[in-house]
Amino acid sequence: MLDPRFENLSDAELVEICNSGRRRDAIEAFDSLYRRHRDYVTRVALRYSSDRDVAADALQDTFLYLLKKFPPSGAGLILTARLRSFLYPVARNLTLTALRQTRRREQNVDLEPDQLPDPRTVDPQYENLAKAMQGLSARHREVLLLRYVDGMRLNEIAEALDVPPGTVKSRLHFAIRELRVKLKIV
Amino acid sequence: MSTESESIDLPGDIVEGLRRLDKSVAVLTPAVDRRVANAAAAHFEHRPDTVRPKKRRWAVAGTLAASLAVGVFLVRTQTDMEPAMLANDIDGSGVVDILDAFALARMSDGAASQAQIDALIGDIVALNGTSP
Repeated sequence: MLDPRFENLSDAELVEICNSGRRRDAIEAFDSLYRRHRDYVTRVALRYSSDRDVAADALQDTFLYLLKKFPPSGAGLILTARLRSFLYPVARNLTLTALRQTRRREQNVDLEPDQLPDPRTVDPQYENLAKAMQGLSARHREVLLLRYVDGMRLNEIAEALDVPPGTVKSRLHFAIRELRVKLKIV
Repeated sequence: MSTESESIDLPGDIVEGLRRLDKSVAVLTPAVDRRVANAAAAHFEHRPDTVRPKKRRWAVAGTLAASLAVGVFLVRTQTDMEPAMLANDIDGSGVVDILDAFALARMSDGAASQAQIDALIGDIVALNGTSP
């Protein structure tokens, strides 16, 4: 059972405990980080693959990667932005790697998310939006989700995607414009 | 560089739709939960375990007979108050650890000096058996 004292701590505080805390505290802190960001990492994985097994593997591998950042195997993690900016590229890359390894028919898996929820299965209210998103390029779709769903700022998106902020701004601008055209928003 | 506010934006209902689409798929991960928890337990296995400050106090008292007598008296007469009496146990957990440093910083809302927080962290590190 989770220690309630950890629930009110920030990600940075939990990371610090994982870096240098005692055994029991470090385990609890890492578990808190996992439970806090588990659904987010899963959702990121599912943006790139509709295969739930791939998503589950990516979830596990993402947190094992994070775990190795902490002593004794790692030098410790220093957060320069929100933890999600760190987790996002890890989950994304692990998902794409898993896709490359497991799919036989792919021709263009590179940076090409598998799919958002199938427009045929989504709430009819959002069917047009789902179709419009499917029609965007992978990079445009990605930056829209990071900005509007994940709530990241431009500099956080830049860090997560490892591109300059100007590139993020440009992609975001064209993505919004393209989506508005597809949705016939004046 | 231009500011974010200069970007064109999406209507609120579209943003809400994007959020709902993204959350429309749920995945239960009990097996992954277990594997990650086991990996964390193994990873941190060799960290020093929790050391009760009481032990440290007893170690000091062991070198001073008079302090030992006072300690025994306190334990016998006020056992129900023990956790609250621990020095620097800010969150009242019965253990002085790094959580107390965070609690002190948060509770004091800036009133606690950095020196106080540093002193508490130094105490925690000392309890850990490692040098600051």
